Amino acid sequence: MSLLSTLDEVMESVIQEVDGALGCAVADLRSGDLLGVAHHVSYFTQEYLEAVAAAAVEMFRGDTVRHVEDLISAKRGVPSERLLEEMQMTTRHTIHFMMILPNHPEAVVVLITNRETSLGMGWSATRRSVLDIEPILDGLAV
Amino acid sequence: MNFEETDQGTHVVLTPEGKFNLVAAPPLKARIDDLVAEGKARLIVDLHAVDFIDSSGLGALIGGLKAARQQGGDLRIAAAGAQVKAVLKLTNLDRILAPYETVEEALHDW
Amino acid sequence: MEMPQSTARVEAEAIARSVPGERYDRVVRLAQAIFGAPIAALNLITNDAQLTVASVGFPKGSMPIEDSVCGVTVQQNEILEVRDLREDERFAGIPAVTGSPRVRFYAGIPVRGQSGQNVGALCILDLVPRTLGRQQREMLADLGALLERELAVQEEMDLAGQVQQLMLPTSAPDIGGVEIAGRVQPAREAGGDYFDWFVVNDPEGAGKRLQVVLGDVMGKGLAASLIASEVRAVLRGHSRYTDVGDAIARTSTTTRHDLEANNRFSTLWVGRLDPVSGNLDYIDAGHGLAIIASTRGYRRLSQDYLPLGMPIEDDWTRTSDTLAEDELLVVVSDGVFDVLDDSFDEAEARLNAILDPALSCRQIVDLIVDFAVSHEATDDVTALAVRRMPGAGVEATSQGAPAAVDPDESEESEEKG
Repeated sequence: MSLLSTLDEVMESVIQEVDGALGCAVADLRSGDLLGVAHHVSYFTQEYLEAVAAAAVEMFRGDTVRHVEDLISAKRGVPSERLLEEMQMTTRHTIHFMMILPNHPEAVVVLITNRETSLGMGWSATRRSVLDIEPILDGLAV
Repeated sequence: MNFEETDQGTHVVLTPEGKFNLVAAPPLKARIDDLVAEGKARLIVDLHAVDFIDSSGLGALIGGLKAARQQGGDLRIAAAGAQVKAVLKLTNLDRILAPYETVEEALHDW
Repeated sequence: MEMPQSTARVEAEAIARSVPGERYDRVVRLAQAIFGAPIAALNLITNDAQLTVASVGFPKGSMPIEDSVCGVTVQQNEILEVRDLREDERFAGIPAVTGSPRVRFYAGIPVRGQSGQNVGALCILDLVPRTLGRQQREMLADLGALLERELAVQEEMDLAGQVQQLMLPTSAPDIGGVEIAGRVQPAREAGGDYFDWFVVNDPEGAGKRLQVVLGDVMGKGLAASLIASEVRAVLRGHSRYTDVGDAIARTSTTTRHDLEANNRFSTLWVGRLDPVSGNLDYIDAGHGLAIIASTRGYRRLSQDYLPLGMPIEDDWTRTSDTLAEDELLVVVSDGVFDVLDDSFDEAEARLNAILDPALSCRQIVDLIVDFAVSHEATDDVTALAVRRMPGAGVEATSQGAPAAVDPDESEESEEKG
């Protein structure tokens, strides 16, 4: 079984766990590639999901964000660091829980739910998914 | 358990539905207590829609009977099904809660 | 570091054995939602292990105390918070930090049991270093208090159940020629069903009698069990000096106020057996579920009296029957009858299972109770079985097979020889 299909399984298990979950994905921040994905919504097409992954890349690693991080690091007198760790985005119909994997800063996990989901439960599940995702990424050794 | 209530002027008919048990008994007893406190002490409990009664349900009926009689009234039961009749017979409570076949019969002297 | 207090450890074990999952799962889920924590758990600390009894993101089960953080938390009375476990020399080397799930942040609040000592801790863990602000620490303290309340309620209930079980007779009554067994399976930790047996002197002066009782207080749970204890004690007191009808009459009078004040009634079946003659006097106060059965059929031992606690005075008069040597007296509570669809025909169809003479009274009672429980009885379930032992002078037994040797008979045969 390919490592990437087991990532899909991890994504599926996250959706099962969270009430109101619509989709979940792991994306590579360097390329915007989707490494694993699961969803129960018909209009979450490949095109749409890739667009969401690209948006996440931009939010976490876009030029304007990097500029802010560089400025802060400079003020602190430390080498420039990526400081952004988690982001929560609420849209008219959804909530997005987005988190850089602590031991794999090249990857981000995104959980998308409807507006009825508990914030605490959403974060709890997103953070916990790291336990299952990181060993798989270790195996990919990219 | 839901119950319907019909005030007929001379008496009130309560019609509980479903399982007359530990959960259902207290609200019905509370309603009987309220009715008696308002002076409506002639009560008929129509049991045709009750499919199961246990000791808590019996307790509510007996308690209601006592309360009604203390105010010069009475509580009578009507149209009890097979399970209810069996339990009344087993505990001999049919001696004080005589199960009338119909509401009309239960009304005989009211 | 202080040594962990041992009474608290014993208490922790007792709680772990009796814990019903959902009660504590609820509080753990709240912790999960409030803190957005990937891992939340209730851990109990025994003498040599940490027992995870409720958790999210962490498997339930046990681990050695040296590998746990909560084992340290219970030694203090306030929250233990560690921003990064990797940087705390006490915990940097424990398996959960060096290996899966590689946790880094811990915050735990000690939780006290009934003894007032810390039996475990409610904790949250994260995979990244973290600090709790004042409000979050207050919330963790609130959850800890909630959990203590749940533990206290459960411990009280378990204790009530144990007290009730311990009050039931288990040893053979001090009277020869009879075998008896009884068993109660309450629907909750404690309940309104009970049985009793004890020896009384026949008030008409002619020797010892075995009084056998089965009572059923309306309702379930702790409240019903309190009333049951009262009725049992009052009946015991009144049974010594009077016949069985008077004993019930006096019990009815004595307990009426308390039963009515609590809006409860109690059915009661009381039998008094002379093991030598087989004479059985009984009173049936609204119970109706006592039979004498044998391969020849069965008969009910019932009367028309009301249960105790009713607004009517009855004139309790005993009925007499005879328990033959090949007959079995069986008394059950309505929890058993419900499983048989409240039908005597149903009951009769199953009588053969308990009429096998090779079965002891203990086995018969177990068969009946296990049958009811396995058919999802929702009420308290009780069964009592009594049988006469053939020949005089055989030791009474309340469990297992009849005694193999009859000392009187062997003396007789020696004389004859």
